[in-house]
Amino acid sequence: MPRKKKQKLRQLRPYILFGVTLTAILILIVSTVGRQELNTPQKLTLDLVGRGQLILKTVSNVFTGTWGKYVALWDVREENIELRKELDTLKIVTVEYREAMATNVRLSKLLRLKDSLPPPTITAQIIGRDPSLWFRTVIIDQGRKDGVEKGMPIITAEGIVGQILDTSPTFSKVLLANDPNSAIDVIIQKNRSQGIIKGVGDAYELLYILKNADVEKGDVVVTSGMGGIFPKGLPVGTVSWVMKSKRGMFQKIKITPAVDFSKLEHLIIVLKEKSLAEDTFK
Amino acid sequence: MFVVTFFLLGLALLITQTTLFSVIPDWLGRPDLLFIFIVFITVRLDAIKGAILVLMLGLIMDIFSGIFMGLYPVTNLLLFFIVHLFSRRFILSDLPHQIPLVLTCYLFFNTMIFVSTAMLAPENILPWNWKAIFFQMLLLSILTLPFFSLYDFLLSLRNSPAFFRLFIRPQRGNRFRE
Repeated sequence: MPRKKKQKLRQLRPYILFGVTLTAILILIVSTVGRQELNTPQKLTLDLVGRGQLILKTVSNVFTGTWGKYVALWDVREENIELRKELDTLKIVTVEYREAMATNVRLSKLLRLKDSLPPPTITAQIIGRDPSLWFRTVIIDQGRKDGVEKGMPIITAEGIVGQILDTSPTFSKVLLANDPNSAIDVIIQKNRSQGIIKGVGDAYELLYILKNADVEKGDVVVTSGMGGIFPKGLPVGTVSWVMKSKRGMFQKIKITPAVDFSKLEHLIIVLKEKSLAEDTFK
Repeated sequence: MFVVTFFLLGLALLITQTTLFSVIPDWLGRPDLLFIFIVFITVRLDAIKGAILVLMLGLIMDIFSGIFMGLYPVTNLLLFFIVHLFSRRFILSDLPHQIPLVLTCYLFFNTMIFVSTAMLAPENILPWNWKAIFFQMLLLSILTLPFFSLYDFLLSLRNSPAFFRLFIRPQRGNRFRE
């Protein structure tokens, strides 16, 4: 081979190498477009960057915690009086509940109902939030090694929050219930009408409720237990707007979430022996 | 080696936005500093280094935002090549053009995300929120000039010998032979 040609080939070598690498990367990207699962390198990156998020979150917690404690002292006297009043009321309610529970146990024994143990749960902390305007996802500090699996429901004491979208060994990504890509089976507590809620940013939209169903503003919506993801009877929200248009079979209903998504910090993951949600995501 | 430094800077911005910025109340807004950084890379860096950087940052953004993989790398690359193409014919990166450039890019970027997700999941169309977009554009227009200046300063450091010594190994042999 002539020397000039050899030299030219040597000069071109890095460009060829770069072109091949770029093509491979582009093929990899195009082949993954639209997928909802993290691949192994992405899971490793989530683990690595998640640690950075965890450190920064811990630091910010120290500052916000100190400030929060200081602010909490401002109205502590008034709050104390209010809480004492509330405590007195709740003591009376507790006595009534105890009586009701005793009756329930007695009747259950009579009916020979099997004890249904609540599923095990673990708590998690939000360490990162989706920075985009479009999506509602968060990163939590519990992962596969803690027993978390894809599709597991996430709740708080107030109500449902979302479900696990993907996991890495140490961290997990959660799809919040107010994301437009989330869909959860629910029922209206009052009349047991079944529907599906979809996220519309800060609220939910309740779909597939027939026009003849009696739905009013303030009605409570809970999970139906259908679909096998969320346990039955968890609070979802309250009806905030109802419209029966002339066209179509269904009502247009908006739901105010039971959970304030902007103030979420600690979550409860409901662990299951086998996640049924995998079928939903497939 | 400044590509690695810039990648780490982008990563730091992403981590900051996903953690510290979530503490900021909604009415104060959470500026998308990473987006300003991506536009900066698009207009200041050459085609190969810039494309690699926006691609890598897009791949990381995919993990922490949204549910569809490949959305951010493709959008970032498309934005990069379109702006790069225009910047050859027009002067886009000068001071008076920086704010309009960032705002136009932001609108284009969001349109791309909206259209892509509508194609990937037509049954779950994302709600187009003009209010949130305009608010973010206002924040970006306030922060573009100071952050462009900061990134320009960081870019100028690559010519500083002290900075070089930290990240670049000394080259041996006759470099002028070829």
